[in-house]
Amino acid sequence: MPIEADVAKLAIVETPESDSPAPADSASPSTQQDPSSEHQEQQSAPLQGADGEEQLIDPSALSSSLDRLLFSYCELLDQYQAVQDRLSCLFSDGFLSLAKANFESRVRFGKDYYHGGMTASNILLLDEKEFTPLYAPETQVEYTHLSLVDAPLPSSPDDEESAEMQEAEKVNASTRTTSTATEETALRRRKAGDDKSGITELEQTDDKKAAASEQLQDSEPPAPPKVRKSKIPLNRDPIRWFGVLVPLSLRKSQTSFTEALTEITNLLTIVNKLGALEATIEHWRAEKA
Amino acid sequence: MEGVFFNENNGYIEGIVRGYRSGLLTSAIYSNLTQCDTLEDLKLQLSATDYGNFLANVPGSLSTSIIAEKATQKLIEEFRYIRAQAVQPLSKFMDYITYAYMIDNVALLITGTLHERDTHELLERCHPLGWFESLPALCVATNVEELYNTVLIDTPLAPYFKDCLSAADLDDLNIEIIRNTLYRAYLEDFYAFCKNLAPPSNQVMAALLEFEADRRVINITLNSFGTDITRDERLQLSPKFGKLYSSGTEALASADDIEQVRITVESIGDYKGFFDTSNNKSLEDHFYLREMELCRNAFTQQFTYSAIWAWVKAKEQEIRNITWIAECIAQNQKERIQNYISVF
Repeated sequence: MPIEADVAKLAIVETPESDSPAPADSASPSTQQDPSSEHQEQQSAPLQGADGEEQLIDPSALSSSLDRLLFSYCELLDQYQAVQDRLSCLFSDGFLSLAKANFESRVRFGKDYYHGGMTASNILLLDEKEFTPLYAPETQVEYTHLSLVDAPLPSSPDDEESAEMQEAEKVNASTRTTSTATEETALRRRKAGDDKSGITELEQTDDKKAAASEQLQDSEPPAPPKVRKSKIPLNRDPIRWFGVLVPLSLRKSQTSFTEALTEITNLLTIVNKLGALEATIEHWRAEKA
Repeated sequence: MEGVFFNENNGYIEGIVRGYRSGLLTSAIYSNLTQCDTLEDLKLQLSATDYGNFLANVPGSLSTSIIAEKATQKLIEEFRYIRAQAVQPLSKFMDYITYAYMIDNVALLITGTLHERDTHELLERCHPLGWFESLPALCVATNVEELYNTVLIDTPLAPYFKDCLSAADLDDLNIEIIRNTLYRAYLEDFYAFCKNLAPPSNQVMAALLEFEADRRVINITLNSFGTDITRDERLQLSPKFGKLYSSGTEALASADDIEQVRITVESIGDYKGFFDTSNNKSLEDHFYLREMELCRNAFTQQFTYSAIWAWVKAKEQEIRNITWIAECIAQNQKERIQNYISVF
């Protein structure tokens, strides 16, 4: 991975500057030997008298800061790998749960059930922020922060939902005045009177429809139509595209993928932090050189 | 003596079906399939079975959906061959098997209309065994009454609509209720038809359909937790037969969590242990295992129509098993690959 290679490169460059003894790296490129020799001369500076103290403070402080930035870089890299592991687990769990749902079901959950007017349920926000490296609290590094927020619900579906609720209330009121005391346990016709007039017209045209209408007239009184309580429109709620009685495996799959989306934004945020910190480290190395 | 009269019209068909049954994949073949590292290896292993070169003309790279589709195509060809040889009442029996696929196709097309999808695209995705002539006209309906009066009144599904006719608009909840109400009515009608068949078909099919009814009740109950489905609707969607009918179905309709469901289901001796999730076995795995055991036992009876039902169900399970193994190979999840159901 390019990030680990960059860390190794930085580590090789910085090793001769550290105060603790470190083994000589025979693989280090020859171009880096000159700065290392300079650093060795500077490291020997503390052994000189007090006249070199001003020169002593800047390079050692710079070296120390660079070390702390490198440690912070390694810490961020560790976070990156941890998030990467979690992300791969979430994706594998999600796909396996989806395969399990397909195994348990009569139908295959796939693109056949997608909504043609699907809309985004999340919005990605990019902010320019500053963060403090863990081991270098005196440093502030600018980076691009990614965050995920729920997309706002459109206003028109809510108006449609409220209109449906009002209509359902009107139907409830009308049916209570006309229906008997029997409980309404099945889907019924909305307007009993209008339907009956429509059915008499059908009886004149088709014998089969007349037979069906006789069955309907013998059935129980009509009940109001079912109105969904959820305010989320259908094109924003993917689990409902596959039906209402979906298996638990499919819900688990959706949960895994939803969590994976959050982890992706975390991962990209860490990548941005790594890039910003890397630029800072390069800048400080250039100043030191 | 029933064997003589049975063979007059159905002997050839039963012979063909028993030939298909002997070609079902056994545990040894499944074991070989689980050793495959790629889908191409899987294809090679399957070519040595009755599947033969069913994946020979697949363009591009193999995928699990293509494997499932081609295997289903083979089942459809075999079913149509048998159906073409059948006379009454076996032809009616086999038509009943296709009504379940018709209901699935109706649900797919109505859902596609609700989802603003192109109907022609979805027509190609319908199950071929559930095809009927007025299927493409389903997209014009906007409520249930229109759906019935303009399209379904001339189809075999018409009698099943009498309990769900209304002018209610077709939204996702109503479509789900309609689908399950149709299926309940279909199961009850099929059960009544099978009860009138000559023995032993009536006894074997009664056992198989009662298990199917019980399974549907349990699944509807469990999947309805957290949804808008009410207690009365759960009761409406439950078939009026089966080991759980009627006290069990009423208890399940009132259940609020999985523990109550478990207590009710395990009161039936045959279903004890279904909620045991050890060995990575889910409730559905137990259901499928019991169904396959019933199908395997159905083949021990001769001169019965239930062999055809059992063969169809066993073949569908085989396709699900192959698809599961293919998914585990493609996703590199070999530790879960053993979760298929094999009883032959």
